[in-house]
Amino acid sequence: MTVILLVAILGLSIYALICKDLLYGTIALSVVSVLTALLLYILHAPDVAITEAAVGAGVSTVIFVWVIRKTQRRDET
Amino acid sequence: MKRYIIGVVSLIMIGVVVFPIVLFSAPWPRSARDFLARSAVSETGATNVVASIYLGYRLYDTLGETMVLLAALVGSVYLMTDHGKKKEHFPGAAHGSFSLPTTGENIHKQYKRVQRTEVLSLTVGKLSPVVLLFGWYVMFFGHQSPGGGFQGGVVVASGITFLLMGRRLPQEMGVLFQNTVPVQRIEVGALLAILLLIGSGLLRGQGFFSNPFVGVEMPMPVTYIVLFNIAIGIKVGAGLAILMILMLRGTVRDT
Repeated sequence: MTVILLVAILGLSIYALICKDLLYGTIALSVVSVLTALLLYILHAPDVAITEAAVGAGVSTVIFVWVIRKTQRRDET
Repeated sequence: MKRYIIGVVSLIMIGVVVFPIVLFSAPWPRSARDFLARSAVSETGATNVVASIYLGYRLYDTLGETMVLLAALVGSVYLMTDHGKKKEHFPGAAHGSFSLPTTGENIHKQYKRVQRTEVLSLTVGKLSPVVLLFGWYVMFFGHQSPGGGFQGGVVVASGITFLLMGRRLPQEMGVLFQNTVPVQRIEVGALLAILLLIGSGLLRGQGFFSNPFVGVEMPMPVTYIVLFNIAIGIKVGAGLAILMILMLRGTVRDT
C-alpha cells in the first residue's frame, strides 16, 4: 500500500511538473495532497494528515485555480 | 535543455544530502519520547499528546507560526488590493471574471456575469454546513482527537469558501460576508485573545507561556489548551476567509 501510494505520488508530481496545461497540473497536485494525507494516516500521524488534506487539497487548490483564472492557462516555457 | 541539466544536478545534490540519512543506523533518541509518554497527559490533561506539545511544551513555536501566518496574510492582502493605485489590466487576464457587478444593474445580468451554475450552487449549499460543522469539531476537540486550531480553522475557511461560491451576489450574503471588515474584526479579536492567553500566566505569578489553570485550586490544565485551540482556529479561519472574500468577490470593501 505504501509503495503504491509513493509511486503514485511520484508519478503525479512529475506529471504536474511537465504538463503544459496548468489546470491539469493543479488537479494533479491536489491529488498528490490527498494521497500524501492517506500516507500520513497510514504512518500514524492523523494530525498532519488532516492538515495536509485541508491545506493541500482544499485551500491551495482554490488559490491556484483563482490565479490561473486571473492570468492564463497555458504554460508557455 | 538547460532546465533538464539543472533538474538532474539538483536531484543529485538532494541525493547526496539524503542518502547518508538512509544509511544512518544509530538508535532513535528516546528521552523526549519517554518523558512525553510518562507525563504529558497528567501535566497538560490533553489526551492528544500532539496538542499537549504544541500548546504546552512548545507554545513559543506555535506563537511564531501564528505570526508567520499573519505576515503572509498581510502580504497577500497588500498585493491583492494594490492600495488605492489605479487598476492596471493584467495582460491576458479575464477581465472582471470574479469582480462584482454594480448594484444598479438588472439581476439577470448580474447572475450572468458571476457565472454561477445550478450544480455548483446546489452542491456547495448542501456541503458547506457539513464542512463547517466538521471544522468546529476539529477545532473544539483538538485536545482529544486529531486536529487542533490550525486544522480546524482551515476547514472552517473551506466551508466559508463554499458559502461564498454558492452565493456570490452581495444581496444574497449575510452581513458577515458583505465586505471584509467584520471578518477582519473577528481576526483582530482572536489575535488579542491569543496574546491575552499568552500573558495570562502572569496573573498567577508565573511567566509568559505558562498555563494558569494548573494548581491545587484549579486542577483543569486542559482548559488552557481548549481556549488556545479555539482562539487560533478563529484567527486562522478568519484570516483565510478574508483571502477568500477578496479572491472570490474582487473588492476590498464597499466604502
